Amino acid sequence: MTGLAGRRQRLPGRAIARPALCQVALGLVSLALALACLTLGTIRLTPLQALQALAGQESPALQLLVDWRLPRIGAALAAGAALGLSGALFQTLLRNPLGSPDIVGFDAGAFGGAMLALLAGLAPALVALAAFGGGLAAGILVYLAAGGLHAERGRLILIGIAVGAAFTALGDWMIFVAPLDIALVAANWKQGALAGVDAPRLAIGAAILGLLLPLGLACGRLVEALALGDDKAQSLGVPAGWARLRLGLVGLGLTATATFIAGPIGFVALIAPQAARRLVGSAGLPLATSALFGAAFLLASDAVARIALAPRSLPVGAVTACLGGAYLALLFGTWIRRGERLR
Amino acid sequence: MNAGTRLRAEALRAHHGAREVLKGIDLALPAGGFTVIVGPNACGKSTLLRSLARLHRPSGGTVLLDGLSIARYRPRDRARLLAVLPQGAEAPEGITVVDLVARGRHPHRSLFQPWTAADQTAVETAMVSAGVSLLAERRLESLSGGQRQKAWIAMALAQGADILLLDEPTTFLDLAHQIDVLELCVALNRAGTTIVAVLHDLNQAARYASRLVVMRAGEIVAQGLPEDLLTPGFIDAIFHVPCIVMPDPLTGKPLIVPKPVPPSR
Repeated sequence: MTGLAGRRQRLPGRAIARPALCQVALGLVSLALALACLTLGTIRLTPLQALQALAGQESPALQLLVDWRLPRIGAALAAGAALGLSGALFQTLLRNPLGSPDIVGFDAGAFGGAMLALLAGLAPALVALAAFGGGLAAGILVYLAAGGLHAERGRLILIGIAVGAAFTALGDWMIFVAPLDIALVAANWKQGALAGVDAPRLAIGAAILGLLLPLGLACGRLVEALALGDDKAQSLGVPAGWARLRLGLVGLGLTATATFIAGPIGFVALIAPQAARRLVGSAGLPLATSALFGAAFLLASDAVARIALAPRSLPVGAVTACLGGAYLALLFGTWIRRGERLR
Repeated sequence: MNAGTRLRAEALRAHHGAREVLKGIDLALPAGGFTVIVGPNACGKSTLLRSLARLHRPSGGTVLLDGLSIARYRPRDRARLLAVLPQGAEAPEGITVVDLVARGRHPHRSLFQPWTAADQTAVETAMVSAGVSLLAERRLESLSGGQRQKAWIAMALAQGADILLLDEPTTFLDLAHQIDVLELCVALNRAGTTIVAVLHDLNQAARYASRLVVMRAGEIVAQGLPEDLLTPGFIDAIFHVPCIVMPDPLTGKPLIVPKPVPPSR
């Protein structure tokens, strides 16, 4: 029994220090990045000017500039948080660091659904709904083709990649046949560009996320139980089937909303949860930290996208893809060193 | 109904796809007992254990927990009464023993309820009972198979249930660790936990069980005290192993010694 006293503070509920610290740090980084992004661009501002414009104490021209830049920053934060959280949910659900919604084609599905609604000329709210429908269709297709819940995980991911490719092709085809004005908007959207975000779309997306983010964060206990395997979760009193369905639906909703806001942006959902886990030093993927990391990561990527080839602006998806490629190479390298297979 | 029965199966049937795995099982598991289920491979013993724990949905019949159909319990209420150590439980990479054991408190906690002193005590007590207190800060993957299994048992204990179901808890362990885990089960049983385990090794079953349940082809063929059941004729009939049975020189329980058979048999 001796020595137990020293371990007391390491027990859950008491060991809040490091996760909370990481969350505060990521929040501050996001704030600093947001301020920096306000000052960046063809017309540079000083941080002080940006703050004064936010407070409504600047010249109308600068005021306008800041109002212009704000939606893009908001979109990056919102979509990034949604993607980070969605990635943590799906990687837990599929028990694989590759089981991310962008890898298994759910964002491509969501984009396909959104494109259909866009072609039909539907209202933005219905486009968001269609994005969810498309993501759900991709999810159901992957699920059925892989042979249900008890499918081998590697198989599920490979089928997901195939389904994603099919939906990407479908999206491309729709851009090809669409009238020119819609095609231009869509082609820009598909690149994962935050530049085209308008205030109404951001408002709808933010409203949906206001509901989905708390729902997703509330899945923390389910995630902890499911990480021990379905049987063990069941033994702890968690109905595994329902828990998986809930995780899947919330995760799909988050991916679809992020896609609706900013287009199919790859690699944020893939990287954010793993990076957050390393930061926090936890076993299993930390949900809140994943969301915060996703937000900071996407905003930082967008800043790079805007200044790397200035005055030309890159699509943010290109930046995340570059970083994501490097991460994948690192991940596979680790697996090969350890002699692991794609499980 | 027997007042000393915690868990009971009545006309229990179960399928794997189209194959009937349990063909109408009637079984009463005594409170405070150490029941061991044995039988040849694919006889349905694991499915029986899983059905008792509601990890497997039976296709007919009922399981009664404290006299009430187990299907009617809220999952978390059931989890406070009955804990299972299934085969193939997995843990996230990097989890420490104390974190794993703490997850056993799941059915006692809710979203907005902070970690309480009762949770703390339960986790510490469970680690002491299972003999893993000194390993509390170690990562699960750095432990030996036997230590890992004891950590899982500690987690089940932290759940606060006094019925513990174990599905082949000694498989993949070396002999020393097998004995270690089984002795832990005996100690827990003496302290009041009702234990039901599926085991492969007949000699270990004979030594540790207070009650033996023998299955074959989805049915229970015999149940009772190991010393009453395990006769050479019975073992040959069920397991197709000619043998002699002698009293274990240490415990007096039956000790099964298989006879060499010519390869042609």
